[in-house]
Amino acid sequence: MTATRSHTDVLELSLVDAARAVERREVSPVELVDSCLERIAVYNDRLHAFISVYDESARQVARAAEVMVTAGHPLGPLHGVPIALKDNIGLKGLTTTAGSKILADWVPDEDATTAARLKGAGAIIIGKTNMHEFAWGGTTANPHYGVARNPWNPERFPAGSSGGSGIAVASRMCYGALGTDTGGSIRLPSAINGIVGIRPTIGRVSNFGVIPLAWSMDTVGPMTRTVADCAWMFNVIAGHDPRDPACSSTPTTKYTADLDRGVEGIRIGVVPGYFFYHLQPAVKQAVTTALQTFEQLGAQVIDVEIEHIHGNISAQLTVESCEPSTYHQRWLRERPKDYGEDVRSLLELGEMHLATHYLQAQRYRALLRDEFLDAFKSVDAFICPTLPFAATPIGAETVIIEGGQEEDMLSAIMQFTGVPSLTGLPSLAVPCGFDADGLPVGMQVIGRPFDEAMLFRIGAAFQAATDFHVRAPDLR
Amino acid sequence: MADETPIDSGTVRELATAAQLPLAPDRATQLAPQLRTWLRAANELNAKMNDPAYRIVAPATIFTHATVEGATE
Repeated sequence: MTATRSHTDVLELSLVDAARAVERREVSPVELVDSCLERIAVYNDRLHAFISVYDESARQVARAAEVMVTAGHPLGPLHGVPIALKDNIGLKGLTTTAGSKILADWVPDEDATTAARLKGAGAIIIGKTNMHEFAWGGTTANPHYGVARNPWNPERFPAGSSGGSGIAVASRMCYGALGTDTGGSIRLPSAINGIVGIRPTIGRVSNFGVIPLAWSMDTVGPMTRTVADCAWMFNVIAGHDPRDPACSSTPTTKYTADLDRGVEGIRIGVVPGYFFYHLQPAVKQAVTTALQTFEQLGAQVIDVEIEHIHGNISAQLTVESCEPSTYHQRWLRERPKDYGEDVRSLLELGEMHLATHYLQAQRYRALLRDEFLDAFKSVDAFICPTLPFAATPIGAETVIIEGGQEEDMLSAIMQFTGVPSLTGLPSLAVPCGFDADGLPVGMQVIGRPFDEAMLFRIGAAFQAATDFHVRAPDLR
Repeated sequence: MADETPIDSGTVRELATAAQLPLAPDRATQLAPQLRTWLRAANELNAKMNDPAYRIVAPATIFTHATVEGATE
């Protein structure tokens, strides 16, 4: 193993390259872990990416991993690779706070299925990342564990709710992270921090051991710097889990198999009356240019009308407010002051919808899903912006969209992520540009149920033709 | 559906009472504007879903049983 490489060089390796370098014994797990921990030690106080950092145990596991690989016993595709988990994903014997004061001392007695699968594949869990309290919000301005900051500009927000995972990956504090996505909580921080993240088909990845936000929309997925890294992690975590009754037994596939197939002949749908409306100009420009890139690569871009797409934000707000308020009902009465002000308000509001509002929203979901499934007879995927704007200043409650129009942040942020959340369709967030201030802009690729492989194929083709994913924030 | 009755802090208090949710008076005032926006949108969705064309659409929360071993087919 070479001794001339710096920690910075090691941290620039992609997850796949780091895993392969460990396998070939070109880099040691100890070197990977030390590099990440050093990075966290330097920048975490400023960015608030992590709630817990496992310095000692991560180094112990890294030493063991080094022994194992040296002895010719690789544990799996993530052997020795440092990974972070959002702090609503349970780890046996370690505090899992969900970013809350209420669960500040809660210690699960078993691993979440996704955590267990990562560990089983040889990953080294280096810490738990900051998040919007109980995942109910999109800013990660956490009142209990610190206001998370965007590595591209620390005066801007990192989005959320998996904001800490987004920061950690973008700023090279780990090679990959898990997030959770109910209304956009993986895709939003992926776009805003300039990384890749996938919200899987509902039921593709187990939710066992994850603190819920909204049961009917919750998912877990990887967040990484490249599409290939994301598919690599997805290979490990996807698949049936009998401990999650909502987890599907539909067979998995090898999600890395089609990464080099390109997009020749692929049909990409856009909904012109919705996907390109109400956007900051830089976002519109970046996604429009991305679609042109796909056409140059041989894909066909097709306009598709989705009659029922309007109404999705209301349905999402209804479902995403009623279900959390049910889960939190007891705590809200017994410990209301232990919530941050914004989450407390959202939970109180969620008690004030009628049951008929909730069920009409669930009927709407069925209607919208069926319309998308019908549309997939004529296209292979849809592409749209991940969100209508780039990172806003920390603390902003409104955002300027187009023509100087000011919008409520919560509604604006859900404009595009709500469609996959409601329909249960998989959606891959991919960086596709930067605005004039150097802030990342992202698009999402939405696919058929259980066809995550197609999303990875499309995303990988885009990254093979562009370099947005290799740019890094300057933290100095 | 007509939006005739304004959603105000009094409405918030009544809904909180119905849910047995203790709520300080200042919170009712604070929550009212957001609730007004949300319920207006939710009622618009109600109206849409009440179109006879969607009468057969069932909610995406149907209670089902998985296959049970030993059950008569």
